[in-house]
Amino acid sequence: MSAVAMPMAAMGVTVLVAVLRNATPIIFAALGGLISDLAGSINVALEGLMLIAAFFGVIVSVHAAQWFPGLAPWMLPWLGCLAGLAMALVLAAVLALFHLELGADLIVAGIAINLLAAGLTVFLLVAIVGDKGSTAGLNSPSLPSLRMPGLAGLPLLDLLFNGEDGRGQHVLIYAALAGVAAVALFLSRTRWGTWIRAVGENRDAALAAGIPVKRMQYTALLLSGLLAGLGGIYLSMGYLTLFQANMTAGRGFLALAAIFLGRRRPAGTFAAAVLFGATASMAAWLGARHIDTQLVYMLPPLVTIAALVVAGARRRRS
Amino acid sequence: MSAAPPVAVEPSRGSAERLRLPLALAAALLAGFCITALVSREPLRAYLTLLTGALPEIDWSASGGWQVRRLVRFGSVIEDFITLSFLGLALAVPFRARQFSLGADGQMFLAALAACAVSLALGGPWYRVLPAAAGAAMLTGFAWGLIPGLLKVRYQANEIVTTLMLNLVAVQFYQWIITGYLRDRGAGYLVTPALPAAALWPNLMPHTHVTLMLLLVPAAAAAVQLLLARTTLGYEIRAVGAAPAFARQAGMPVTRAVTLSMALGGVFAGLAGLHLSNALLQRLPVDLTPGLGYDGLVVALLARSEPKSVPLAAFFYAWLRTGALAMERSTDVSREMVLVIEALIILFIVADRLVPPGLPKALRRLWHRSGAGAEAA
Amino acid sequence: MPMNLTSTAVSPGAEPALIELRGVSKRYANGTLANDDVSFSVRRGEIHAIVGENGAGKSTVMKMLYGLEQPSAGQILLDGAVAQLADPRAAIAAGIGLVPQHLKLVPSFTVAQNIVLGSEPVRGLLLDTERAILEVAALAGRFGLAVEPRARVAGLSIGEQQRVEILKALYRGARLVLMDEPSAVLTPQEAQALFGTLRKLVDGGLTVVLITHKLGEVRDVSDRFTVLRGGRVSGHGDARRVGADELTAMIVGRAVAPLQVARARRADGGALVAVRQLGVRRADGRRALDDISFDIAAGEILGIAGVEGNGQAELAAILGGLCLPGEGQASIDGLVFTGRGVRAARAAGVAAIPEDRLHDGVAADMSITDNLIAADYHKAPLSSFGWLRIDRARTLALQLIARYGVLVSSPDAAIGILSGGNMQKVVLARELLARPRFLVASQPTRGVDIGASQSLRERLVELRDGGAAVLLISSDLDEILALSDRIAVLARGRIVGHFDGGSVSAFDLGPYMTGAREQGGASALLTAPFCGAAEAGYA
Repeated sequence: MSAVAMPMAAMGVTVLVAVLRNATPIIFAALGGLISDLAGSINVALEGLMLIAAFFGVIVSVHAAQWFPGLAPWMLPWLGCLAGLAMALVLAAVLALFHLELGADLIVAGIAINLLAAGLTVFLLVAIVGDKGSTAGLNSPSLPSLRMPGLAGLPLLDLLFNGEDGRGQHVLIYAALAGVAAVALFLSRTRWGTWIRAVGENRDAALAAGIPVKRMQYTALLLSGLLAGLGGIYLSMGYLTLFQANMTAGRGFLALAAIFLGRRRPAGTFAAAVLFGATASMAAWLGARHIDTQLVYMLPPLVTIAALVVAGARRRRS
Repeated sequence: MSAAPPVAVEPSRGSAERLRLPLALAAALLAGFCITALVSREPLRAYLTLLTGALPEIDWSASGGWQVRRLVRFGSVIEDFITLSFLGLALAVPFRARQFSLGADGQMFLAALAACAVSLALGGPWYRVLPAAAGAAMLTGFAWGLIPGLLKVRYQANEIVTTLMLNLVAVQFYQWIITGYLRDRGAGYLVTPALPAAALWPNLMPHTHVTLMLLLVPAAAAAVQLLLARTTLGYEIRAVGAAPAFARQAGMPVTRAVTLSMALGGVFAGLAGLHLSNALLQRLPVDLTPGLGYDGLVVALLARSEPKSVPLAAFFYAWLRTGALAMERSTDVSREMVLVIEALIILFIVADRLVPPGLPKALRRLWHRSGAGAEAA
Repeated sequence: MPMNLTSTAVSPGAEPALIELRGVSKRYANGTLANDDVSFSVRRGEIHAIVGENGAGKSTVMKMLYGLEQPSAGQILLDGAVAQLADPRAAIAAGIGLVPQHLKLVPSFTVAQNIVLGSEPVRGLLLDTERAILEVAALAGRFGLAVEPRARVAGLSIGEQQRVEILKALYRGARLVLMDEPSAVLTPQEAQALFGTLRKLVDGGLTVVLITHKLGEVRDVSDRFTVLRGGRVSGHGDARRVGADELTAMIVGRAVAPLQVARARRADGGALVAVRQLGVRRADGRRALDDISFDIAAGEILGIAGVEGNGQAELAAILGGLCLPGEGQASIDGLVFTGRGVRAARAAGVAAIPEDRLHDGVAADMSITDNLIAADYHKAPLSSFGWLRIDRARTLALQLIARYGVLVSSPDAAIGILSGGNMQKVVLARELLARPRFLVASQPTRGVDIGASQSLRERLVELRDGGAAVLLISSDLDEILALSDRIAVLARGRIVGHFDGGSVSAFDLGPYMTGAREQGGASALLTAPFCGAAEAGYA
């Protein structure tokens, strides 16, 4: 590679990695939201589910050492991860129960879950850690990074896969990318995925075909909890290793926007989530060039509204 | 998405309906108590403080006569009450038209910004600045509420998504303006300059921020009540919310009613913004926390979107919030517990099937059998 | 229109019945008796038609056969043994399949995906789409049903979609296929193809139960038939040997003593309401109304007879201003009022009683007063400059309640608590408030008790006698015959017959309603000729 192209390519790789890092939580949450939306149950509680998983991931991984003294240190973050996912599943189950069994409106219940998570996390933060803002005082671990050996001879690939410090990229980034493929496969090529889509598109047809509709709706909401939980875990046990109050900062709603923008398809949702992740990276970069970050952060919601308008205009013409 | 706001559009009838609200409140408080008990060493005291913490202390002693203490704390109840009343009204109006507009947050932020900017820019006496600021706030709220309405009727853009997105845009815009244009360079943090005295609402309670805007609350609630019950627009809003097909069949201007319901809701969110800027805070920080709009949602739900019940619901909610502050100060339970209770209240209120259909009748039978005699309501 | 399809099925001699109903009755929770002591049997390998008008009880029988409802009395026997069909899954397990009238397919899925939905073949964890396609193709081939397994359902015609529904039932191993009014959504050519398909199914060993109201389907497609009227069996027999008149008599029966209503003189002077070449298409492109032309003179009631779903709803919607006509127009005294919205139509003097009272006619949770002012609240005296005069509204409500005999204690009560009859009185009161010159009344006495029906009909006559034009759209033939000065029969979106109200009977109208007969080039203009009752025999 020429002496000029090399640094530019290296910068490109760095940007790509930064974009993926920012996009990963949105990707996870959007995948979860996609599944439940395709089942006809829009999940606005993604924000709260991410938050609760982020919190419990940190807390359990820190305290697990006390509860299970004989545990190998590498297992602690994974235990935290499991705990975070479990709590996200519990909240998603609460949402599903109130909606499917007690007849609560799904959107309002979803907003309630967001409030519940926001309140519960800070409440427990104070009770357990004694700090209202974050767990910065704790030394919480992160999930491991994966290193690709044998790339010494290919500098660009080495930079891509192993990062500037050679320690590799976070396991959840790989998981997010794998997740896109997995969700796409699930939806189009498995029984349950097909049933979920049928329930969302034509409930009567699904009922008539003997599909257990309620069970599918539960499954969809729980899966969205699981995936959103992974997004939350990445926030607190990924690049950053702490929990901050309200650290999700609207990513759950951006995930919803990504689903709309991506036309409710796995590939499109992924692309939109990456776009939003790029926006976050771009904000810092543009800030250095005296373009106000707030303007940049306005882009994702404005783009979403524009997408809705375009869709509506197209429908009117037909 | 086909969710309609969970509103009892016309006064609820039936005993199951009337049982639901107290049952929901009781369930939420109970569940919150259980969670508190898990973590706190003194859950009972904490909960009692939550429920009574907002009360001022009134003593009488021979030497000092009547003494009222902790009035300042009660003052914060009233301050919250004012803001929450306006926010509750901001959501109740669109809800009556069956529009799920969640944009109160963004409308409030932008309106506060507008009120602040006008107050800072316009010099002069109070009878020039205050009405101008109020007008700017209400107009901004109206406009920001009008946008999702127009998007909905022209492009069928789902109002939940558009209002949520517009909230995000509004907060960013607010932060941008304050950081870039309205900043007080002399202050140590990112905030606007303090508003001139002429722009501030006159104070009603010393040491608090309770202002004359308190009197606007019943006026606003009455205005909404009058609008809905006694104007043609209000009638259209109610009809569109109760039975949209019927409204269309009768020739009512459905799209106009939908749009205006959202825009008018914005006006009241604007008043909440005015309150924030010209009464409560008196200068706007860049890091004002968004999310108060969702508290408006609880208030509107508790009030079942009836304007005359909104102040009551707002007061109940403000009471709890201040009680939570007291709870945090004197026990080991942080005030975020009230958010948990708020969430639980929402969940239980909108659970339509919370009251098993046989329960009201069973309860009535129990009442009669216990010899209480009087006809259960 | 005759459909001569010869049957190649083996004549069912003394074979045992596949399915039998013995004394089956169904009473719904609200007291309606939908079926009363119904007994019939369906033989193996035949096409059995269950015939009747709307509300005769056919769909209830079908629901019970598919497990969607359970009989209140009596038994259903399958292969001679009593069957408990608790839900559709039990029915499917027993080999009963249903092709519903409103198709239940997932539009974005392919034909094969829809057919195997719920029981997809899998290979390990993944779907075996190739096997699904092969199985579907094989099944289709076996029964001679032309489908393209890989095509998306959204792009198919209704006829093709219906074939997919049939294959869905067959894929689940149905021995008996219930078809619910299948030709209601098909063009004549598609219907022809469908009946060929049914013959092939039967040749392949299946049994078909065909729910229908069309004479032609009974006589030309079915082997045997059972007629339901008013929830009871009113006749049965060999479909290929029954005469059209005989069959009509069983379906329509003798008209209950018609209400004696004084008929207006044949209108002198021209038409008050003139409808010319009105037409509109449905969302799927098919014509809901085609070249509709009629006049109504002042002081005249024109009745539109016909089975539901033949364009009545669209006609009412266009005349009421709720939707745009594709072609044509309607006018009052020369002033065109269609295509300009509801308020323009009302301003021209049009009022409408909607067919679906609970959905379009009233706002159930609002008060009676609020319901009464819905059409005129924006004008004086009920409001001025946007301010509602509540006191005047309430006074008006009290007056109207008294005048129309609505049984309620206060006008502030929610209208939802009223009975159907009282609710309809409120609807009528509201519509007549602005003294309309043209009233479109759709199914005005549906779900209304006898007493209220009588009083509502008297009001319609009163309106007519006051010089208004009334369009009465009703599937209650007795009502049409009693009230109409002239009658037009609507079938498949076109006027197929024009009659003089005073000189026809239900028997005369029946064949036109069921599509067996048609008056060529019929319209209901004032000058258009009438069909005589004694026309040449059935084609």
